[in-house]
Amino acid sequence: MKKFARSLSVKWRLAAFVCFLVILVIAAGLGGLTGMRSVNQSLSDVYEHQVLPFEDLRKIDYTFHSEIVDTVEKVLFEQISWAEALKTIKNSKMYLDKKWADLYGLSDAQTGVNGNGWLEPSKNLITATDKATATLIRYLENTDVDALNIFSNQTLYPLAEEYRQTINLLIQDRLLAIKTTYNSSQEYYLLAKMAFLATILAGILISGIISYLLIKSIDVPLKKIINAMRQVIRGDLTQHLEYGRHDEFGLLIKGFNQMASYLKDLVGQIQRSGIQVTSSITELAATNKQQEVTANEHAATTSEIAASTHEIAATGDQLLKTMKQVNSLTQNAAFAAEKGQQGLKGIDATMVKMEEATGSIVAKLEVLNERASNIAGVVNTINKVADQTNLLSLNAAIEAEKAGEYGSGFSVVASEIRRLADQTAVATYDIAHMVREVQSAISDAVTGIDKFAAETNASVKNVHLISDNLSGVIDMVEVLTPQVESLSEGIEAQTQGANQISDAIGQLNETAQHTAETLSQTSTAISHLHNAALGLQESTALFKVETDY
Amino acid sequence: MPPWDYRKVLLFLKSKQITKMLLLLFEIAKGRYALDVKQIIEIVPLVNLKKISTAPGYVAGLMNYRGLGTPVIDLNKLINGVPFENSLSTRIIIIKYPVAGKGDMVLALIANNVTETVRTKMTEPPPAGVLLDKTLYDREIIPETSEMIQWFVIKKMLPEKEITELFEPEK
Repeated sequence: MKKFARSLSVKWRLAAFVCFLVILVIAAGLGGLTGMRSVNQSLSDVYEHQVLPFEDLRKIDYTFHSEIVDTVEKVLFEQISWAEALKTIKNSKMYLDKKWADLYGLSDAQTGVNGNGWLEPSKNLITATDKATATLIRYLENTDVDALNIFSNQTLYPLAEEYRQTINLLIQDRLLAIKTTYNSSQEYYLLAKMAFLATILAGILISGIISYLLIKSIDVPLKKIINAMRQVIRGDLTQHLEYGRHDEFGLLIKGFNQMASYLKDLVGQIQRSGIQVTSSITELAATNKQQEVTANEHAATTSEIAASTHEIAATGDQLLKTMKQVNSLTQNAAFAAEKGQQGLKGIDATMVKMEEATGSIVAKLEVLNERASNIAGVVNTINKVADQTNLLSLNAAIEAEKAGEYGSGFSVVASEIRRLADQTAVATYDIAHMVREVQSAISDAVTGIDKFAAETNASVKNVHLISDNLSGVIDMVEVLTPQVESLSEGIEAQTQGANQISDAIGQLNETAQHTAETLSQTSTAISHLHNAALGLQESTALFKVETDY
Repeated sequence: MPPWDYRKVLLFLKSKQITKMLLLLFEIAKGRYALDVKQIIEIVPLVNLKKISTAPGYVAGLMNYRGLGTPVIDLNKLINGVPFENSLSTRIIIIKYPVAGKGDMVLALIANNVTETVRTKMTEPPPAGVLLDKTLYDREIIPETSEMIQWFVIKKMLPEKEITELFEPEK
């Protein structure tokens, strides 16, 4: 059993505990319910068999007294008729028979201690009553007053007394039966209370024990694991836990043990490796320092060489550039001179044409001037004619006036002639003015063209002179160019050689410097690495590992 | 200038009774003057003059007018004190000059711009001796210039005594 409980997982254990509690609660509930049911049963028994007969007995008693005895009395005192009394007594007899039959039926149905036989004392009474009523009915049918009177005094009144006593006896018996029932139920209640209390106490006790066991089974391994974890956190990796069970905690502890063992191996390896790395780095750093020194020396030497070759190359380059410039300049000069010469030739031809053109223009202008002079002469003549006409018209007017009335028409003609003459004069004046302007313009033009022609002439001469000079320049340049070119080629070849050397050394230098830089960088890296290794060692030293090496 | 139909003009003039004066206009030293045509014999261009040494400065000399030695008065010199300038419109006006006891003598006057006659509505000289263009040209055509024109009264404008002496036979 114990082994079974140990192999059971925590989950199932908890489930079983809960199931047990539930069963306990259901049992308690069922017990309570049964008790309640029995109480209810007994209560209904009491009501049916003990309380209800009270009513019936009371009614029977009342009927006997009020119906039968009273009716007999009323007949005797002649309050009612005989037939009426007979009818009432017959009815009452039937009623009483029915009631008693009901009560007996109820009593026969009842079972138990208080049941059968409680109506025994009434059997004699019923027989007596039957006999009495039969006698009574016979007397009433016969209307025998004396017999009835005697019967009532001798039989009926004692019977009535007996009836009352018997009924009282029966009622007391029922009361006793109720008391008996009450007592028995009281006893049953006490027993049930005790049983219930005992059940609850037992449930609490059992569940407490099971809870304690459960908590213990969870708490103990958990504490174990937590303590081990704390140890690991502090760096102690030598932890190994023992646990016999195969539940979840068993798995957890197994996993923890594996993890601790892996961690231990890992840290141990890291520590070993850290020491190896540190020693290697130290060696590496020393070697690197030596190399760096050598590389730096190398770089300095190559730098010096490179500077010298560079200077040589630069000087050669400059010389070459200068030579090239000279060459291109001379060539440009020759080209420009040739172009200039061609241009000058063009200018020369143009100028000759211009000279010819100006000559023709001057000739034409002279013709124009002559024409203008002719016009001026004509205008002068017209002017004179106009003047004469005016004069003539004046005299005509004067003569006409002298002629008086006969000359009046003529005077108008004369005035019109004069007007025409005036207009002519004004027009000719304008023409004369224009002609003078034309003449002055022509003379200005002629002067300008003359001047221009002279300048053109001078220019042509200059152009010829410049052209000759340019020819000289071109000849000189043509002689110079091939010499400059051969010189420049030689220098170029030399410079190229120097440049190549310079480039090679420059590359060498760069490589050397690169090496030096790289070494320096490596040195830095190594120192970083060293620091890192030291850090690693320090860090891993925190872990406590079994020293098996 | 619209084309003239002088026959229409003639018809127009004949329809009216013409009793108005015809005046000759001329200039002396920028001043304008008007002279009644009835006193004028002829207008001639400038000719060569024979100088008279004894005569006053304003007498330009003698001219031959139809075989008659006629004294010539330089009006510029007489009025302005400056001798005339020779131009086409500078002409000689031949006038009748009445001399007491001798009748009408012929006298020549040199003036500028002697080119125009004008017919006025006046029938006698203006009382002040001065007239305006407005009164002078009271007709259809009104000239643009509106200057004062002086009435040239021969007896008043010319020094009568000295001129009369010119016609005295030489002693």
